[in-house]
Amino acid sequence: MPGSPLTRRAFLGAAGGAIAAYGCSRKSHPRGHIQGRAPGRALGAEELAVCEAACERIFPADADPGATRLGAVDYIDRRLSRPGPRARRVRRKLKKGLALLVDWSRKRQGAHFLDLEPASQDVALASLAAEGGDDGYRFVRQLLVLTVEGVLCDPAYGGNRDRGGWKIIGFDAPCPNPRCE
Amino acid sequence: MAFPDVHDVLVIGSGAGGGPLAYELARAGARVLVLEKGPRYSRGDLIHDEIKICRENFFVPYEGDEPHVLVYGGGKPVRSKQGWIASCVGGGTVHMSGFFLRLKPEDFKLHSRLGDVDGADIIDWPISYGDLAPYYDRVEEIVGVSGTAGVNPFEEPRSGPFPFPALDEHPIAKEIDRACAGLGYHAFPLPRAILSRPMAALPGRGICSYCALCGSYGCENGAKSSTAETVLPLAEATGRCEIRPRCMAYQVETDGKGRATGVLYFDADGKTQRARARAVVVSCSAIESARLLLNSRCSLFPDGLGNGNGQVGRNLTFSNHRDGFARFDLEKQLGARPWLSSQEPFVHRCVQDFYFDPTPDSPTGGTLSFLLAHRNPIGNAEVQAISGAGDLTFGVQLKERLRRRIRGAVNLSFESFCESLPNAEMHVTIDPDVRDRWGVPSARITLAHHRYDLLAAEAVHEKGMQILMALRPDETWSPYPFAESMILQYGTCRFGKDPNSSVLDADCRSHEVRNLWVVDGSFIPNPGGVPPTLTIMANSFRVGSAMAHAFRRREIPG
Repeated sequence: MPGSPLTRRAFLGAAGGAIAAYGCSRKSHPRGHIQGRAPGRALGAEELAVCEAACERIFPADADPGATRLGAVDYIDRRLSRPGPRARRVRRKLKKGLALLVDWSRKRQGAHFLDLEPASQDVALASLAAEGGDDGYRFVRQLLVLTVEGVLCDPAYGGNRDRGGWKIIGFDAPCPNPRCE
Repeated sequence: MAFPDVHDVLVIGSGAGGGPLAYELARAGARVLVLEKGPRYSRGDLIHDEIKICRENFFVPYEGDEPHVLVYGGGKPVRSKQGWIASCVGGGTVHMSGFFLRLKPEDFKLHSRLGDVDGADIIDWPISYGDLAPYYDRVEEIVGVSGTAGVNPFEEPRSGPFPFPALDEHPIAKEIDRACAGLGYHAFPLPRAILSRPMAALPGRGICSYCALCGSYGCENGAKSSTAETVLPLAEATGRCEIRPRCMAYQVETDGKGRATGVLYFDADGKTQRARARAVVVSCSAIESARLLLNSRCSLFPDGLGNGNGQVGRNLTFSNHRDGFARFDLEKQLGARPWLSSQEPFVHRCVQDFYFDPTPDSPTGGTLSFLLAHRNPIGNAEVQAISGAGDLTFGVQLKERLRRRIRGAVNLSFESFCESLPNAEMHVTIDPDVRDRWGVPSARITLAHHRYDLLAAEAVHEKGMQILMALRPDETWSPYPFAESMILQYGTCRFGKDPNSSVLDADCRSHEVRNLWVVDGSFIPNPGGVPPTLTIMANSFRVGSAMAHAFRRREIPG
């Protein structure tokens, strides 16, 4: 399709009009979230924790499971650990973006992303997309795409556990893919 | 190379263009070598994994590996994977939707019908519908097409019924019939290159299992009538056709007399190889065939092979469309229309009341085709998460959209296949800077539409929306502007009577290099109002049988 998709920065996410009302919930032990967590294949322990928290805001649990339970981060970590220049590029971008998100939360909301309440995490993501320049927007968009892939992919990739994502979207594939059995 | 690799006929590309001709020639006794850039997939490879098949380089290369360069409306050149058709044995026919509509007799006489059109360069075809009709029959018979003839009042002359009965349909098809009848239009069933019943001649092929994912995927049952399931194995069964996958042809070679002698290609290990033949047939897609010929420069052909008149790469067109969508909320509608919950994947309704002169302003139109929204889960969710303008939606709002707009609804859409007029501003050239992973200069695709193209797609879109509204959906929308289907490409080596304004003669043989043929969509002077695959295959049978005749009389090279 012609035309750049990066022209508009308006943000219609869960934060709604709350972008201005920056949350300022503070807990002072981000490490508490990370402690005891093993590093992933492609992401370090903290990156993994930040990624998981952000994915869960993008696709939160409600009556249906959210990104965490559906294994979206498992999918992302596995995909990023694949060999080759393409996965390497995506990995580099995502790691940079996760660091940007942590920085952004600190600067704008005075706390580590992991220490923010969920509503404030929503604001952090929303404001990063809307006001964080090209890098901010591109990162949130990348994470959004990866999360959607993680919750709706063939379960063979580690996401969409128990086909829970497909149940949400009503895709009951007569799946002729031997890998997803 | 210890032994020279010599064949009667060398075919570059194994899709809709290369396949039928390879079969005809092998049948006639010629030794045929088919070089295919992509891999050879087995049925077991054709899984329904959205990420692997639709989002990675299973069918279409990454733009980092094999970029095209797009220049849109005089803008900045951008690297893109647009403009590729599938790179694999069988080409685009492996993952096609297989909408096998014929052209109409009038499509072959565009210049006679419209006269000179300002800003366009249109011609009459050097053949008529009648010349191609027997080969349309032949495609339907040999590869297997399912359909119902005799319903469409605008149907082209045809010799008889389809060889296979129509596939089953979603009950909404009958609603479309009624809605169209109420508006004075004539909906008719879409013929498809999918087996509805077993095929005696190819008993190894399965029949359609009505799975949820068809278009953009290969068929693990062998029900889709690709060249890989039909003419290619038939050609191999003669014992005279070899298909060599993962071989990227980059230069057609010539001798001092200006005749094609063979081709240089990179094999699977990236090593340069040479294959020789008495006749060379190019069928890599309209864009890639133009690229190959333009890259095949030598002292005799300094501007590229067969390009003495500068016509190679010119007259590029695509099938154009503007889509519309309608949503039926199950919660609201299921009471009155319980059949909405049917899991039948196919709608198969087309309308051709607007094929010519859809409005007083627009002399060209096309075919409307109704279908249920593609069921790719990630693709569907992405559309809900990222708007065309780049707005991002996530959180509970995103989940709510997936539940309400996708799980809780039936989404009907239409696409269209609209005529396009070749013009001087739309063409394929060689990009001066960008190269692919082998170091071969890439194709640059410059897009600029004639105003009739836009009028046609808009007029047909308006009629489509009118029909959708008549179905009483809960919501209709059409967020996307006019666009060209970049997999449905035509014209870069068009055939014609006048050797100054065309590349090929009526037999799709180069005016300039007499043992060189081009048989993919390149030969087609204007798209008409249907997708090209059936026409490319029919023409390939036509050209192949003429070549076979010449071969039997020992006239190749001619």
